[in-house]
Amino acid sequence: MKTILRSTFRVSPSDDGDLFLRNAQALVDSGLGFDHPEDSAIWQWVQDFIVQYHHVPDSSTVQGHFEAVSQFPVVDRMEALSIESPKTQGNFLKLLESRVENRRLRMTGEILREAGNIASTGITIKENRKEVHLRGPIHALRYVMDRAHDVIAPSTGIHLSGNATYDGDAFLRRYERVEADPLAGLGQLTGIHQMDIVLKGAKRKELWTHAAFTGGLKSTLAINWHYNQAVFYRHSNILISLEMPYEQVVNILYSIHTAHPKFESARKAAGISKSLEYEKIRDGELTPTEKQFLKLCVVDLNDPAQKYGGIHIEVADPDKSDFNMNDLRSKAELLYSKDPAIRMVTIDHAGLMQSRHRHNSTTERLNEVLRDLKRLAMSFNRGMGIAVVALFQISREGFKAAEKNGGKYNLTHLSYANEAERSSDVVTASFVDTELRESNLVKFQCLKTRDSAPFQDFYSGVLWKCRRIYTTHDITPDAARKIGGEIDLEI
Amino acid sequence: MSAPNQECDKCAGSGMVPAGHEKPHPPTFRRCECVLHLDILENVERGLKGLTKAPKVSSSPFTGLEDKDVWTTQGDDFLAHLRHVTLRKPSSWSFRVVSDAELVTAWLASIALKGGDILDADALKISTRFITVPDLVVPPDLLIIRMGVKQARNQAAPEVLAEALNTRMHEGKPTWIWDEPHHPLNSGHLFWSDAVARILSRYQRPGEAKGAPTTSSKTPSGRKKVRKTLRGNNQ
Repeated sequence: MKTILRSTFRVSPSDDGDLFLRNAQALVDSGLGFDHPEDSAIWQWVQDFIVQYHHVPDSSTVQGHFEAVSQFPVVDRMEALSIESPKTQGNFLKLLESRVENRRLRMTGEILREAGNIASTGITIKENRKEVHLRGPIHALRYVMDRAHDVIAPSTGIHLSGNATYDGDAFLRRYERVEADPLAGLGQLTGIHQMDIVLKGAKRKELWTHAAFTGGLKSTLAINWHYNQAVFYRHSNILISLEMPYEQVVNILYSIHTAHPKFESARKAAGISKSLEYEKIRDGELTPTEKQFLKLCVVDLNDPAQKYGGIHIEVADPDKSDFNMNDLRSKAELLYSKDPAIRMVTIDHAGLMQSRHRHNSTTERLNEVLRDLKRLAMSFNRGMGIAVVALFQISREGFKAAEKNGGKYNLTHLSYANEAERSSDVVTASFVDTELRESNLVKFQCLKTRDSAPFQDFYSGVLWKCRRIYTTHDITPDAARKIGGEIDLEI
Repeated sequence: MSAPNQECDKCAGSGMVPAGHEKPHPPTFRRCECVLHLDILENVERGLKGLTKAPKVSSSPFTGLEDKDVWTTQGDDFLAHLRHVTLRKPSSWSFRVVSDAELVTAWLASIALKGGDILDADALKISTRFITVPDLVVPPDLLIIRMGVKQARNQAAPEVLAEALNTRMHEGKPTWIWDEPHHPLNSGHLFWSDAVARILSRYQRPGEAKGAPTTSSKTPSGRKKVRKTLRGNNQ
């Protein structure tokens, strides 16, 4: 528990405040407490500090406080904790999960002992400030069922069931926790400003369907999203690629990384304008200077000191003729057990998944797959939930209709699998035609959001050389007026 | 959207220039000037073909009214103002100039699809590009309806115009009505009705000279008014 507590405040400048804040939030969610009174005092103070300032404190601040209030045992404990080495991301979550598992073991023993007592001799417990006497096998089993939730619930403190009209206190506690948490309400951000500002990313327990016609940048968006998640937001994720082989996805990812702004000076020195070309990486046609630059990027993406999240790429099992929801769930949950920092699963694309049951039509098969994807989002890891992104192919008729309508899709273009509209919490679409391709642009639009207002259609830039999609701001009204004036002078 | 200049020094042919990097988010970009000018000109031409060639004006009373309902009776002079306003909007802003004839065509398209009889002198021109009036009028950020194009009578013309204006109002989007001084939208106009008059009564009329046509509250009933004189003659 010393390592867990140590990982919630900064000691050295190399301790990453954002990752430590995630640790603290995960510890709050787990509901774990500390046996030592000094540890409890430190943890309580750290929590109060986070609520007030929205970041984790430095050890000197914590020590300063306890020195000021003359709690010298706590100051000594802080010194002992400060020499522990902290853990972050998946390593921290793994450690936390092991402690939660120990608590579950203890609780299970206690609950079963209590149930035994109820069955044989009976006990008196307090329920809503009333004393209730429980006795007999029925009361015993009911007691086990009531308390089982505390054991079965995942370490994130998520409720699997409850009575909403009795749950007011927990609801308010949760609200206060969300209000104080700067990361609350944020899902897995795409890294594209116009989408993120409105939708705030793909959230746990939600199914996000992104639809496009062939060549409409579905897979490219997914790879960019996963790259941004891992490199900029430092969350791990899983990309199930049923369309592209592993090597192709990796080539694109490394190619995208060569456009990272941190390599600006290295690119200039090597005479590279924006990034390396994906095709050259794929075909091994880089010049010696470019190869040297690529090596620099590869070392950086593999450097543990950067604390990038993992991008787990899974392709379909070559020994199996189809890939269905059971395969997906088992792969994802197995990966999660190894890397608990995983926050998102993407399926590229849903049309290539097989349903669990045999169906006569594609519509029925796709509908079952999409229903199952929503269930996966809701029930992943025993109810913890996860953000699921499903890529979905729009029909040629839909593309033709959008072409006529300035690149605008509507939900009827997904109607050949109507569950895509019903089960998805968010439906977005991207559109690219020859003109947009030549302009290095892709058009994004929001077809549905269950929990917030949709975003306005917008264009994002595409760096085709490396398949990078990035936020492209529209010009401001003032800038537009200025440019209009310039055009007036020109023509 | 325009293809970038491959020799542009600012964007190296990508059409994008950096617009900042707010951590932890990925860096953001904006369109380079080498494409913005062309984008805006394309957008203006998309709204009304040939509009970029319209005369220039140094200022326009229509500036800042892009989100308001406006009615103007300036005829061809309006083109210069429209050019002035639309050139100064981002290329992502959409506007469309549609004629009154196109409105009726869109309204008749669904009947043409069903194979019904169309009692309109322009029936031969009916296309199914826009199958309903909302298909035509809802998408643009600003819709400009040019009156006076349709000449052949159609009994439903005023209702089609009223429906288009009401649809825009329901969508919360602005509409500009553009008619001709020598054939103003008023009583006697093919598209005039009490309903249209009621809707237009709350439209702004910027830059109109005094004496410009205004909405009449009622359509003439068609019955000739009888003026009685002392001589007992009717005039």
